[in-house]
Amino acid sequence: MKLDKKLATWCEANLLTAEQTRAILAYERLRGGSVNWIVLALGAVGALAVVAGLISLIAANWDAIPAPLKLAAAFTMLVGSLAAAHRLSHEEKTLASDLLLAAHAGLVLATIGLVGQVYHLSGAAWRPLALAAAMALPAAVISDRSILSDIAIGYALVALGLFASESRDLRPYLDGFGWALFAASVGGALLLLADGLQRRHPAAMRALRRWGAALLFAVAILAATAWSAAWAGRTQRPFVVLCSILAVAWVVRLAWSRKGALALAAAALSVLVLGAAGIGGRFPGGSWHPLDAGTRFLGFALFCVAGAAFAVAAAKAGSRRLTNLFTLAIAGRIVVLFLEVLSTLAMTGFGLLVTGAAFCAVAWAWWRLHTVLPVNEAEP
Amino acid sequence: MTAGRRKKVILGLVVADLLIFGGWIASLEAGLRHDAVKLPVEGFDPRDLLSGHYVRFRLIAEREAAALLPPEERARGGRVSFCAEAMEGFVHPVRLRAPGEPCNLVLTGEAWPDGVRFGADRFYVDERRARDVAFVRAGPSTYLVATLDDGGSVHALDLVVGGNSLGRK
Repeated sequence: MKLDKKLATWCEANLLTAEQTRAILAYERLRGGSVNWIVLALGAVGALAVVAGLISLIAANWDAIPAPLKLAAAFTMLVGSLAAAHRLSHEEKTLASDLLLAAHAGLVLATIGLVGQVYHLSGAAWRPLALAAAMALPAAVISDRSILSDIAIGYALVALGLFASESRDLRPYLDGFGWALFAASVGGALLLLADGLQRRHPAAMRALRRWGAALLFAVAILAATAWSAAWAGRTQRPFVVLCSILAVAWVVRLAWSRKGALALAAAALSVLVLGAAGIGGRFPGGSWHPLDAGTRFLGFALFCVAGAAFAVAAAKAGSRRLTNLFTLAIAGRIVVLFLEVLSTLAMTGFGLLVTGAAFCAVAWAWWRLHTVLPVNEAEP
Repeated sequence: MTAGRRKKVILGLVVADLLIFGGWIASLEAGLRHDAVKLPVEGFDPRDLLSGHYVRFRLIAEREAAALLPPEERARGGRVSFCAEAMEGFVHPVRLRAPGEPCNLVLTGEAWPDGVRFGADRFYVDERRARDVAFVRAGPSTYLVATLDDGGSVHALDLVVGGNSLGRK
C-alpha cells in the first residue's frame, strides 16, 4: 500500500489528524525524491567500477610487481588497519573501529595467501584458516558487535571442516552420515557455548547462536533427505555416540529449564538426525533409491514435529522472524513430500488435495499462534 | 570492554602481526639462503583456483622416498628424513636417515599411508603466461629448482618445464 493510502486509512481510524497527515505527506515529498536514488545508484555503480578497475589492473600486472613491494604493501595494510582502528577507538568511534578490525581479519588471510604465493608454499589448507581464526579472536573479544565473532567462528569452522577432511585419524569416521553428525555435534556445542557466554559476551553469544542454529538447520534438511532415499554409507559409531551425548544434554537441559516446546523440538530433531545415520547402514552396498512409504512418512512427521515445536518456541520467545522461518520450513517439507509421492495423475490429484489442505492447516496454525502467543517484532 | 583495554588489545594485535608474519617471512628467506639443487618432477597440472594461476606437480623424490620407507612406518605417519645425493645433476633420496646421521643433503617430509610428502607440490606462475603453461608437456627436462635448508625442508625457487623456466624474471 502506498504511503498516501496508508495515511488516509490511519486518518480514518483516528490515529492521525488531517493536519498531521498533510504534514507527513509534505515532508515525505520534500525528502524522498527519485532523483536522490538515481544519483546514489549512479554514484555507487561508478565507485564500484573504479574499484573493480583498479583491482583488475593490479591483478593483470601482479607478477610485474616485485615480491618485496607486495609483502610491504600487505604489511602496511595490516598495520594501517589496526592503527586506524586504534585511533578510532581513542575517539570512541567503535563502529568504524570494528569495521577496520573486520577488514584486518580479512587482510590476515589475504597476507597468508600472498606469502604462500610468493614463496610457492604447499601444505594443509586448514592451517591458514586456523591462524586467521586465532588472530581474529582478540578483536572478537573486545568488540560489542557480533560481526567480528562471526568472522572468527566462520574461519574456525572452515578450518575445522578442512582439518577433519584432511586428518587421517578423523576421516574414516566421516563416512556415511558422519559429516552431518559431526556438523550437528559442532552446532550443538556452539549453542551450549553460546549459553555459557550469555552474560559475559552477548555479541559472541549472538554469533555462536547464529552459526550453531544454521549448522543444525542444514543438518536437519540433510537428515530429512536421508529419510526419503536409501543410500549405502554406514556411519561409524564415535560420531553417533558424540551426537547422542550432546542431544541428551540439550534435551535434559531444556526440560530442566522448563522450556517444553524447545525440549520437544530438540528431541524430535535428535531422532531425525540420529535416525538418518541409522538408515544408511540398512542398505550396505546399494545405490540410491526411494525408501518405503512408512520410513518416509516417519521422517516427514519427525521433521514437522521438530519444525512445529521450534515455531511455537520462537513464538513464545516473541520472534516473528523465526516463527515464519520454521513455518516456511514445514511448508517446504510438505511440497517435497508431494513431489516424492507424485507419480500418476490420480496420485498428483490426491497429492494436490492433501498439500492444499496441509498448507491451509499450516496457515491456520500460524494465525492461531500469532494471535495466542506473544509474537512481536521486537526481537529477531 | 573499556576503551583502555580495547586499545591495548589492538596494540597487541599489531605486535602479533609483526612477530608472526615477520618471523614467518624471515624463516622462509633464511631457507632460501642455501645452495640450489634440482629435483626432478612428474605430473603436470595447471590450475587456477582462488589462489591464482599455479602448477601442481609431484616430486619424483616422493615416490623414491616412499619405496625406501617400510609400510608400517608410512602407516604410523610423522616426520621422516632421508639422506639424499646428487646424481647426474638431480637430487634423489638414497636411504632413510638415522637420528643424528650426518648427510651432505637431507630431505625431510611427512609420511602418509600412500607415500611421503616433502611439502613442495605447487608453483605459482605469471597470469600472462598461464595460457602457454597450460599446453606445456612435462618431460625429462622438467624439474624443480629449490634449496634444502639444514632441516631438510624444500624451498622452491623455480620450476623448469620442458627446459623452460616458469620462475618470475
